[in-house]
Amino acid sequence: MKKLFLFLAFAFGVAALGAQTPTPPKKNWTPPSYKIYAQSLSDEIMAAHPELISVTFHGVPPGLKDVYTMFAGSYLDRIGNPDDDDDIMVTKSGITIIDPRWHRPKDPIKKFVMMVPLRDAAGENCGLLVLAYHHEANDPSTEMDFYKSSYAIRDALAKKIPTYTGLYEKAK
Amino acid sequence: MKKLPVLAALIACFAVMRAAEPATPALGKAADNKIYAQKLVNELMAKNPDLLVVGFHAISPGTTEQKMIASNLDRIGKDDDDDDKAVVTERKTICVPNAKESNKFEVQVPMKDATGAIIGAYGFVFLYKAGDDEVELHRKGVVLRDALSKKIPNLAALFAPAKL
Repeated sequence: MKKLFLFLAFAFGVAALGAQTPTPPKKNWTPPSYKIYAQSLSDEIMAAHPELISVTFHGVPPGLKDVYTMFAGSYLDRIGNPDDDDDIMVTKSGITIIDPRWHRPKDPIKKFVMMVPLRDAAGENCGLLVLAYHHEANDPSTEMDFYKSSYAIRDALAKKIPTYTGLYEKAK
Repeated sequence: MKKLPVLAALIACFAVMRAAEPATPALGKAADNKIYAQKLVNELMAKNPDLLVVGFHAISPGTTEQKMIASNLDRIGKDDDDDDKAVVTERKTICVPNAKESNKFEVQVPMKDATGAIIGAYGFVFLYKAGDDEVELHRKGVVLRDALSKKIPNLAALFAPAKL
């Protein structure tokens, strides 16, 4: 009888937990089993820039049409998540969005987000690079500082991208 | 004679189609927009030859929709797009190279009053050529915004009558 009670309590607990956990977005792309070049570039950026909370690469994987996805980045569990409308706008139009994350109480760490066009070595826009910076209340950095920093990171990265399709090849 | 009914039918079809279209309100002319915001636009255009287009976006007192309230173009009263609204509601700044006209680069920044409160959005379209420093254009937009904020005590002041 005691076991039955425990089992019921456990089952109820699992069900309640399941109801509370938000459903992850349905993936629109599956990465290959090996580590791709873009992921190694993501790792390099994170190692070299402690001011960053995260970096993510977005675009349309080679051979696909209108499949806008996150294909590399410091959030491995988010790879393959479909892009939001503003992500797609950056990839399609080459715009830059400076987002101070105003009134975002769900952000666990205060941050400042730069969404900049990803460029290849020829200077062509080929996707989106999202850089999230630490931005605590006492941080004196202005949006111009974040703008300059993000373009410096993006432009240095561009030199390492001979072709967009190369980003999806196996990392050496 | 055979052609007449066909022509009449075509005209009737056209009239029905026109009636089904949603009515687009006529947009106001900049020269007729005699408010303080328009005066600021005119001053800005006179002093900055690298500015091609200026748009002030805000919700006018007594209304709920954000619109173009002043501009050097005859688009006064135009409904704002989602990106114009995001500049106000999310405090985003958006830098937009013009895909159709490569000599234009737009910087959309939140509009502040003299107290620092966000009261709308600006769209500054700068003269641009390929290779120009986009970071510098963004800086110019921020500088213009900050200079304007000193001349705007509050949102209502933008709508005060003014001589142009």
